[in-house]
Amino acid sequence: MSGLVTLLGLAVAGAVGSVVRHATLARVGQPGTAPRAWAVAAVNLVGAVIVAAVALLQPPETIALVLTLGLAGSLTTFSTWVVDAVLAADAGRSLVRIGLIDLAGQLVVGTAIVFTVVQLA
Amino acid sequence: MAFGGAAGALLRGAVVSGATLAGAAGAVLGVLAANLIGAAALGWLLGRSRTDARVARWTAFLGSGVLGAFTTFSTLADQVARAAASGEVAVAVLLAVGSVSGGVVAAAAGLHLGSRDGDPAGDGRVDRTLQDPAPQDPAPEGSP
Repeated sequence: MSGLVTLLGLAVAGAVGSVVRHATLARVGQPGTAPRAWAVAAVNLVGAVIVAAVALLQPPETIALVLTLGLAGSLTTFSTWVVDAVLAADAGRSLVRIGLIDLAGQLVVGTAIVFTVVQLA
Repeated sequence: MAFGGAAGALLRGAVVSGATLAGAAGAVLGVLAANLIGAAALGWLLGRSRTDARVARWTAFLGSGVLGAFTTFSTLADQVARAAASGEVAVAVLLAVGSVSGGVVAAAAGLHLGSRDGDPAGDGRVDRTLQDPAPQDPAPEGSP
């Protein structure tokens, strides 16, 4: 029973996360523009904050799974992040910005958010 | 979109759960595999959709929905942070650098292959055979 609840929760959270991400990215321009890069960073870093909050608050396992694997997992995206980096390079965005801010910067900030909270918890 | 997101999340859950049975390293490799496969697939999908209207119709469901949800940034950040927090700094750096560089290579390869598949002549023109396959020429009379 709890397995079924977890599956349903994962599916619903996955749908919600994807729709919020899609709605956020649909409002900004094409890959290669600064607003698009910031929008991808926003959904990815909000997802990192959700994972950090779960690590800090330690809710029951099912809720933790639905929030981290389901909601944060689907709200954030790796595929759009790296495909955008390639498309942004094609569109003429500076390689230094792509490498240092869009890619490395975003992962360092996301990791730092979770790292800080894991150290506190 | 919503159905695609649910499907992608469940698919990732299945991959990660299966890989986790092989231990902590399995979970890391499972997420890495999902991310790299998803990056290559999204690249191919977007490359192909430039010239193939049939594929372009599926990009919201398959791209934003399934592949966007199948791949994840938050779990990657979590795994890198936990590796660093447990003193395995080399593992954390390797996972971060490997994921990002591998992801960019996978995305570029997928885009390249998708663009080539939809445009074999390389002239930016739509290949009509992809949308409306030409019927086979009838065999000449008298041939066996």
